[in-house]
Amino acid sequence: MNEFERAESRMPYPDVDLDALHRRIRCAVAQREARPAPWRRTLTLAASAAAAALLAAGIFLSVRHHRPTADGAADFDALLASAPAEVVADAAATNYDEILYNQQL
Amino acid sequence: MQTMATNPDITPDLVEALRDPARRQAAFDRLTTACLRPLYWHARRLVVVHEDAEDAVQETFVKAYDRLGSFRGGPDELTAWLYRIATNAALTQLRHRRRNLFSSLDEVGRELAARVADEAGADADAILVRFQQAVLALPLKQRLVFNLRYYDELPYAAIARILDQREETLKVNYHYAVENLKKRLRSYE
Repeated sequence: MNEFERAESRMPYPDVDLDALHRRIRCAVAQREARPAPWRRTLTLAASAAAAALLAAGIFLSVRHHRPTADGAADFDALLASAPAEVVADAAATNYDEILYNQQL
Repeated sequence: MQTMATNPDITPDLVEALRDPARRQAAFDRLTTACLRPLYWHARRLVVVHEDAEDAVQETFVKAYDRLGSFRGGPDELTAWLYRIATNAALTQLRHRRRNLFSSLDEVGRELAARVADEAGADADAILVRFQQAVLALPLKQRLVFNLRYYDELPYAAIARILDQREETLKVNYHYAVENLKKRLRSYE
């Protein structure tokens, strides 16, 4: 009788059959072995995160590029550069900013 | 004397095989065979209920397998490492048994003492039942040292590695555990 058995005999509980538990552990370990290696999982996660970050940055830049400027100056510049002088003058006469009008003159 | 700490099945060759991906799974099965019973009884002494002890031990081996890459050391360190994982798994089971956030694991131990007789069955030795109830009534720190020293017969150096405590502290806790047990057992008489 070894020490393990002696220690167990000092317990009040009946002896236990641990074969089923051993099989469960063996099965759980085999399942883990079948999974991708931890470094491969980490690499996959990192690649996914990088791709998601790139996509988010692309969407953000795209939206920002197409958004009209807050003060509309660029739109006015385009309008003033392409409109005939009389149209600009009419526009100025009907309450366009005087400074803008003077700049065009 | 064969104890878990001097288990002849846990050899340097086995530890080496655990580090080799090609031999790891088979080596781990040998390790499971060698350590299953002592770790089961270690967990059972803490959680009392058979099914809880089985769950704690299964969790122990699965965690150990997942973390084999981080293990450093030889056979003695491997044994202490497994015991430490098993102790933590059993303590986690005990935490789940707490009635509320503020109840201590000592209270859980005292509650579990009442279940010893049911778990032991009608044919159990009454003296062993009383002894186990007295052990479960010990404060957790004393109980852990007592179990590892008295039942598992581990040297203090090994227990120090498992519980991450100084040997002197463990000796004091063991001394108080024995004194407490004597008092409790006298009160039964």
